Parts: sequence; structure tokens; C-alpha cells
Amino acid sequence: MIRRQLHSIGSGYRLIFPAVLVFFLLLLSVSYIPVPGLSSFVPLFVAASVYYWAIFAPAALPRWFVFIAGIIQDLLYGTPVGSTSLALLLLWTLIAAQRTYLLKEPFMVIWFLFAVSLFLYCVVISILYMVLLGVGYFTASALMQYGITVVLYPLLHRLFGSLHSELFKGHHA
Amino acid sequence: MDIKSRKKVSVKQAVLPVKGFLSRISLVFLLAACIIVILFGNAKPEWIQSARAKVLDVTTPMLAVIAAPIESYRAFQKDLALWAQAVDENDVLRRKITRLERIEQSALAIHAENARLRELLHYLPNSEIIYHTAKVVGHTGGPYMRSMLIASSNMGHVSVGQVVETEDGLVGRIASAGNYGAQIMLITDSNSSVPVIAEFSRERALIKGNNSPLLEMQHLPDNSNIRVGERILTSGDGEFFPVGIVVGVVQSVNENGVAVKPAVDWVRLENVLISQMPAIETDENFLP
Repeated sequence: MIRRQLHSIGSGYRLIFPAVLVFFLLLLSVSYIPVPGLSSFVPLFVAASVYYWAIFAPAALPRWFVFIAGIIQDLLYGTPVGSTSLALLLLWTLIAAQRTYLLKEPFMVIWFLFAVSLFLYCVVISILYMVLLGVGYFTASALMQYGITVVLYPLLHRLFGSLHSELFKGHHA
Repeated sequence: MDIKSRKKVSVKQAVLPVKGFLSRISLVFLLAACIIVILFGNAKPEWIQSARAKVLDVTTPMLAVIAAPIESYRAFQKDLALWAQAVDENDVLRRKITRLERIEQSALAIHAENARLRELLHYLPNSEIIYHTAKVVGHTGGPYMRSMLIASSNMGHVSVGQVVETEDGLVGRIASAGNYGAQIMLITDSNSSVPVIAEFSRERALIKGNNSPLLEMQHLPDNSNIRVGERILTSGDGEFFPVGIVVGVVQSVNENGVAVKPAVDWVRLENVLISQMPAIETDENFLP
């Protein structure tokens, strides 16, 4: 009985793990790193993890959590509240709809599609900021941030992949 | 296949379109919620401020924990450097103390003279500005905004609009404040605008941020005498910034405008001072 209870607790952890990871990455992206100018180029960790989990375990990162993560990010960043949620939800929906096709594709295709979908995400964010703040055009630092996230994606993919395979061994998300 | 399993399959099949419909509905609902939140944020910014304060209260202590190893490493580095400098500095400081003791004597004489003259003029002194310290725990905003998160065990006295500075100069203003954390809009943010005065040419202008490391000076006269290297200070115009805080140093003057380098070194920024302006008392005798 105890073993069954432990197992059920384990399943609970497995289910909330991607959400906890997204929250941790969100905190990491705003934490204080004493490197000049780095705060402008911090990779879009949350968008990268939403992309990964939308393909490989969408049930583990449900839409409502993506919505909440976006709201928290906006509240922390001081950006118009709701804008990141909207962009993240569109990214999640676009990718989750293609997941049966993407699951069969090699990593290079997934990486390429990440670059394309992240670009669309940045365009949506940019338009929303332009309308709501008047500063949303694609600045050099925004392009740099996009570039860094795309370059770092294989590393993040590997990290998410190893955590995913460890946590969901023998389970379906 | 027996009847039971056939029934199970049929129930599953029957539920599938409903599941799909609910999923589509939830997407539409969440997208609509995003738009409502965006519109709501524009209509009721004070509600968003209070939500922001609550999120800051929860996250800033966590950010302080994340920043702790970096802080310890920096403190260790600083200690090492200080030990190396200590012997040389000791000698310099001894000489400085002797010089300062002489200055102190003359300052005391000036102070006494000043008090006498103030008494003669019936001068009403300004109330003292109260400073509170807080620790920098995070950088936020990304490419579109420039802001920082600060934490302190007692943020009850901090409110939106208060000026944040360091011993080097002006940092920005409080954009949102909770009980344990607050967000500063830095002077480099594109929404920041500070009334300033040049130290020597005495020309008044506005310093605007543009999300880049340098600040822009706006509304300068055409025949401006402002020069590279000149310090820029807050002018005290407007209701937010007190007079005389260093904002930066003029880095370039050309046809594109005047660029100012902020006085604060953002990378080495560890602690900040939040200034609490004294309440302005209006004398009814002076009102029209």
C-alpha cells in the first residue's frame, strides 16, 4: 500500500515537473547575473520549453499553465500583462497541432521548425508591444536574443529530453 | 472481443469528439482571457500593479536565494582584492585623515556661519530625505524594457514613483512595489524621462532612455554649449526627482544629438538607496 502511495506521489511529481521546470526557467531568466548587457540577451527559456513539451508531452504542460506562466512572466518583466500568454498559447497550439508529424522527424527538422516558430513568436510579441507600448519593433538586442535562443536550443532540447526520458520512463504523458 | 471491451471502445470513441470540442473551447476561452487581461491592464492599471506587487513578494525572496552563490563569489573576489590593496590604502588613508581633519575644522566654521546667516534671513530649511536600502536580485524586461528587481525584508515604506539611486548616481524610479520586493524602471528604459541640468553650461533638458546603454538628451537649445565630459545632474523640475543627483556624463555631442553615459555601473550594482521625499507642507497664507 505504501509502495502504491509512493508511486502515486511519483506520478504527481512527474505531471507537475514540466510546470515546475518552466517556473524555474522563468526565475532563472530574471535572476541577477553580473555580466554587462546580458539581461537584454537572456535566452527565451520559457518559449523553448513550451515548444519542447508541446511536441513531446503536451499533457504535462497544459494550456492553462502556459497561460499562467505568461501572466507571471509579464508581471515580473513589467511588460503588458497578457501579451506573453497570448504569444505562448499561439506557439503551443501551433506546435501541438503538428506534433504527430514532428515526433517522427529528425532533430534537425525540429530545430529548424523551432527557429521558424520562435521567429513567429517574436513577431507576435513585437507587434503586441508596438501596439501597447510603442516600442515593439525588432531591435538589435531582440534579434540577438532570438539568435542566442536558437543557437542554445540543441542544448536545451538535450536537457529537456534527458529529464523527460528519466521522468516518464514507462509512462505516457 | 467481448461485450464489455466493445462497450469501452464505443464510449471512448463517443467521448473523442466531445474532448476535441472542449479542447477547442478551452483554447478559445484562454485566448479570449489573454485579450481581456490586456484590455483590463490598460483600463485598470492599479489592479495590475497590485497583482505585480503580490508576484514580486513571492518571487523576489526566491531570486535572492538564486543570486546567493553569485553574491558569495563576488564578495570573496572583493575580499581578495581588498586584502591586496589594504597595505597601500592604509598609508594613503592616514594622509587623507590628516587633511580631512583640517577640512573638518573649516567646515565646522562654515557651518556655524551658515547657521548664523540662515537665522538672519529667516530661512526655512527643507526636510531631510529619508533613505532605505535594498538589494538587487534580478534584471527583467529583456530587449524591450530596462528594469531591475530589488528585495528587502521591509519594503512597507516603498511606494510607486520613489527615486532610486546609489552613491554613484541615479538608477531610476520604483515602478511597482510589494512588501518584500519592488521593480525599478531604470533611467535607460524607453519610458523613462528625467529633467536635468548640465553642471557647467547650466542648460536644462530632458534625459530619455532608449533601451540602450546610453541616454539621449532632448529639448536642448540650438546654440547649446554643452561639452563632452560634462556631468549631468537632476534639475529638480517636476515632482519626482530631487535636485542634484548625478545622472551621467556627456559622452558625445554631434548632429545626432547629445549622448550621456549613465553614472551608475549596472554590472556592479549590488545595493540601492530608495529615497523617501519629505511630505510637502503647503502654507495656506501663500495660496491665492
